[in-house]
Amino acid sequence: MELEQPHAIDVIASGIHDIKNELFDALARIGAARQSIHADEPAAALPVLAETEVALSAAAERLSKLLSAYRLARHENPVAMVAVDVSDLVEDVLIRVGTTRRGIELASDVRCKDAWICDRELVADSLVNALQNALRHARSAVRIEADVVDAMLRFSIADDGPGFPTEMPAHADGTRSGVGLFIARRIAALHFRHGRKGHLAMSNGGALGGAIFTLDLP
Amino acid sequence: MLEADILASLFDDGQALDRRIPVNPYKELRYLVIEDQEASRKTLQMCIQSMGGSSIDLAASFNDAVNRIQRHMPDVIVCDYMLGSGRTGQQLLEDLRRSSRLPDTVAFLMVTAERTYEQVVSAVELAPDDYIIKPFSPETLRSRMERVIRKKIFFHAFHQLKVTGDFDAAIAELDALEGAEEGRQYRFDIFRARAETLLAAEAFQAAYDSYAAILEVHPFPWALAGQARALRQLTRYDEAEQAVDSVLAAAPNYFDAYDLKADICCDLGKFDEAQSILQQAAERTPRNWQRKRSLSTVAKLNGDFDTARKLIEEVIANDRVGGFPIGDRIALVRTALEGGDQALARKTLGELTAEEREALGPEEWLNLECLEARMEGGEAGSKRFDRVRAELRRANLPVDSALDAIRAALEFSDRQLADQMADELLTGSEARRAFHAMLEIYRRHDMEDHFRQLQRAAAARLLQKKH
Repeated sequence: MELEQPHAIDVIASGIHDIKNELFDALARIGAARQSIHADEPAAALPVLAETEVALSAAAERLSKLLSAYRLARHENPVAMVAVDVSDLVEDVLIRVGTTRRGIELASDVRCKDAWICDRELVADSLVNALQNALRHARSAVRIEADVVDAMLRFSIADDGPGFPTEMPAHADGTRSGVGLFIARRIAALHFRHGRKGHLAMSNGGALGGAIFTLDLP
Repeated sequence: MLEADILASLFDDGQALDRRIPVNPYKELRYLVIEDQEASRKTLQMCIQSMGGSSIDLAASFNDAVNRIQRHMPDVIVCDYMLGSGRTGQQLLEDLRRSSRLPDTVAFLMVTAERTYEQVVSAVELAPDDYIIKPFSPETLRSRMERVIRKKIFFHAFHQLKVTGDFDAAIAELDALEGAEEGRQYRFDIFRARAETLLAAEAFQAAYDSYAAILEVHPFPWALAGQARALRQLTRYDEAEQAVDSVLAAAPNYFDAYDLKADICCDLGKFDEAQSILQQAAERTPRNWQRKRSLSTVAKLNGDFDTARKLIEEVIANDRVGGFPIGDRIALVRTALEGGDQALARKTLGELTAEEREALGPEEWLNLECLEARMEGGEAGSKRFDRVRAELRRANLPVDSALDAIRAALEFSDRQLADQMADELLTGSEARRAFHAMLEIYRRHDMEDHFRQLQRAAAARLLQKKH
């Protein structure tokens, strides 16, 4: 059984490493954009600046995740339980992830029509992360579902990609760091209601044949 | 502010069918953006503009926001949680809704980069209609705003009924909404609204039961607080104290719960504890003037006039937005007089303008007369008090005013009036709160034994009533 505290440090350090790379990348692009403007070719600078924006945005998002991971590791973040409409939650997640992804079809099926009690922001964060990961690895299709199974609210995100490697994916969020997974595991565990705890599962197969990420909440 | 049916027609896609030009509902709404940082204010403004909004008012501070809302009520408010100078959007929301300066029909969305705000929302009784964590895209804002507006449309009739105080009709409306097809997605909101309305309607047992049903789903701090309020009104003080303690255990930063706990301690006659609890909470929320007013009142009930006076002076000097300046001034005269500072009492009275005196409510006027009569003293004071005796006999004064009246009555030797008013307090709901103060008043006139007789008689009558 891994010890939580040291693991959190590794995860966070790894995340910081990725951010450092993203920032240097953004700096380089800004340099290139500046040169285009100097060379009297401002139009060439625009696409580069757009890429810079994406890189900085990714770095900011990752920093935000690291902060969450830090707080979760330090137990500073008791869950904030609110009544959440499951369809609204999935809609929010889809908006955050964005709909156009280089030819990948993103479908959703929310069968739970009622409200559920959970930490809206933390659950949305884990789903956004899992969905981004699925989109990164999918060939052509990703599907997000929400249903009540055995009195638990089950979110599943499936893709038609190569599936999770058999070696435990500590870095299932597609980068060197395992921040996303670390956070998702903690979030699941922090949901404790009516004597049951939330849990995370990763498997391969299903209807789309690729990876399946499942988050169950009591 | 737009009427519900107009709002509904704007958001009902079916209605737009016969129009050549598609209607953008967001264009018709009036927005207020409250944000102290200029760059963020502009970003929010652009975000709303990109949704089609054009009538966008901007406020750069807490006070600015209050003034703008007063001048022209918006349909939708987008407010940043951090507003500078130690103020928050949450305080603004609570101040405005509690003083009835922001109707429930106006949408209030909080935006914040502070993840800790989630804890606030999940705990408090007064939450915004929704909150959004920054950074967010215009599409997120639009989708959240649409949900809030649709919910406002759904609950519009209920809100109108609640505002008019027709609680029975409001509850009936909730029952009807629960049975409606769209009611399914709003089920939880309906349960919560029902419990809150039952509290407002003073149907305390029903409110307690309503909250109990919610607590079966999850031990929300706001539901526990609701139960504590109901229990307090049902005079089940020990249970109320337990309930509020569990709120504080679950949500130690839920400051309103400290106020409730202090009230319950006063009910139990534990004034020292009440003062200490409120003191701690006030230290952590130094710009919450309402809390300081409460602390001043409790300090007074506890006989600590020095603290009471300092607090009310601080409130008067600082609260530019609060709704009860006259009440504060009267409180200051009272505490100054009790603390033996005639000069301060006179000075404060002198500051009251003719317009303010004209605008006094009947109870405030009576209260002031009692205080002024005592300050004048002698023949003049006695004559002044004579003029209000008859009205005092009929009046139903709040605790503080009643105590002032008793002080005056005893000073001007109208023992009968004093006893009558004391008896009313002793047999009323504020008996425990006022007991200590009343005892002190009678003691000062060497009438402690007499007071205890009054107390026993009142207790006996209450017991008889129960049987």
